[in-house]
Amino acid sequence: MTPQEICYASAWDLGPLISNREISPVDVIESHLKRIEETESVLNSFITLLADEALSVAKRLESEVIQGRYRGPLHGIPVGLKDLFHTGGVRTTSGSRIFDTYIPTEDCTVAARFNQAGAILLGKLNMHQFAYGPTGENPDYGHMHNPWNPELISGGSSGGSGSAAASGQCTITMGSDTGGSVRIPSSLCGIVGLKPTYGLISRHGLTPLSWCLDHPGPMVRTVEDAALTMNAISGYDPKDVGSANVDIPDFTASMTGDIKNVKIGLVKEFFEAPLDAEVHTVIKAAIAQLESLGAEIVEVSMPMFEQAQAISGTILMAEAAAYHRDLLKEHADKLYPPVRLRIESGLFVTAADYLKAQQGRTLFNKAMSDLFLEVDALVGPSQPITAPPLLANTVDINGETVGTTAALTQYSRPYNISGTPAISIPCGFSKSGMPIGLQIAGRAYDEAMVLRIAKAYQDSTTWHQKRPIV
Amino acid sequence: MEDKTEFTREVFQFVLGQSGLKPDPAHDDELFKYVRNVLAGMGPLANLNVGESEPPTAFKPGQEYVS
Repeated sequence: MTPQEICYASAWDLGPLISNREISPVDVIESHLKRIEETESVLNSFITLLADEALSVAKRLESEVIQGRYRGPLHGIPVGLKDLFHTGGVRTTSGSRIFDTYIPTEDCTVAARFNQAGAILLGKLNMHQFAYGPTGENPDYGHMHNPWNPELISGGSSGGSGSAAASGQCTITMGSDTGGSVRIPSSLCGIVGLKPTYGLISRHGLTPLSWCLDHPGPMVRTVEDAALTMNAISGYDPKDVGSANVDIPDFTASMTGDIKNVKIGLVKEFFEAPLDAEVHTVIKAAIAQLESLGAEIVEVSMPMFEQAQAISGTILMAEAAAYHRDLLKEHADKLYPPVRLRIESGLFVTAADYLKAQQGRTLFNKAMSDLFLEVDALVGPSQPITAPPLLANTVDINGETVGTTAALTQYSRPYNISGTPAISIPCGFSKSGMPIGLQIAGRAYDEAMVLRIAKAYQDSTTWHQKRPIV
Repeated sequence: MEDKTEFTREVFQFVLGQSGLKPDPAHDDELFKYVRNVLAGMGPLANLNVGESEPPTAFKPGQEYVS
């Protein structure tokens, strides 16, 4: 394999090669460091690159393989973590210079589980400051750029994770998703991003944005790698009060490729909202493809879609303001102005507003629960648009001017409210060559169904094999 | 939910003061406009009839907490 092929190989494919000693973890890391050197000046995916540390770990893991101590499918696989996953001995900035020298003393649970699985931490990835924005803007460490066109956004808030996975800088990256921050950059960068059921991946040791909406999730290039990552890092953690104490399946077992008679709901409200005509066409073709694979497609209604932005936004604003209140008092002038405005505005949400939003969440979840009695999964666009230009406050959707943040979060927020799993997978490209994502959502703890549908679609298309020129 | 049309500059200054934030006249003008827009965006929630539904924040006594 050439270094470039190694960089674009999945963990699913690299694992057996490492296990059989056909490729060494050192080769894998060296290839990725070369790729980063070639592309980082354009993409700006990393806040902290751990080149020497990663090589040192790779040598140790190489010795383990030689000694017959292979840890499993992530042994020797390069991983990048959004820079709000706390890492012992490695600075964790949360995307802000305020924490430029902050070095946690211990790993978050996700980092510890990756470490245990033999994955190699290649670096800490760039992000929208404090994860509070969907565009991947960051004046402190530089804005993130889309590998398919660097003049356009990578999306956010896990923008560095999106660009790093899409460009072959990392095999696996991790993001966190409060209103779409895993699925937005995944869709805009043409990769696979899974927001699992709330509580399935521990939030312990992650800088919060909103405690009850935050979902850590893998951002990778194939559905198989999403499943492998889930196998390695999901599961109960008593250090996270929201952690789900449920049995963890082998997520790879669900990927049978068979979706015959699976009943998939097409949410009609998604197509009544502002939706770019070109994206609409691509999504309809993807849904037709699912139908051709044997799925039964039925139109359904998400009755409270109209209220989703207000419910999610109110909860998010109140919790973000509560968490960052002291920071505002001490460092307001050091915050990125749009992030400062978002945090400060949460101080004006009253307790009654917040609790009404939570009451609304109960109603929303009841409606979603009823909806999932009718169908096995829901599909629709991940995004109403392809990646817009950097720093664009508004976007044009079929002649209508829409706020960029509102547009980018309109399809993702409902599943943060419900806490149910949702994945974005690549399903085509615009005429200008920008990726388009299909969102598939399932019942709580039914990642198996989501991955099954995603894998069947992926195997019937070649979108996941397209590579950016960067 | 209270009527957000009552959100005046005086209310804004009061909440800002209660929050312990330092006055910043140039920024405060921008923030005032921003907050008005944010509160307007919460309109669909104001009109939502939540009836007797409880917030999904049930307290579970005896839950084990590990720091």
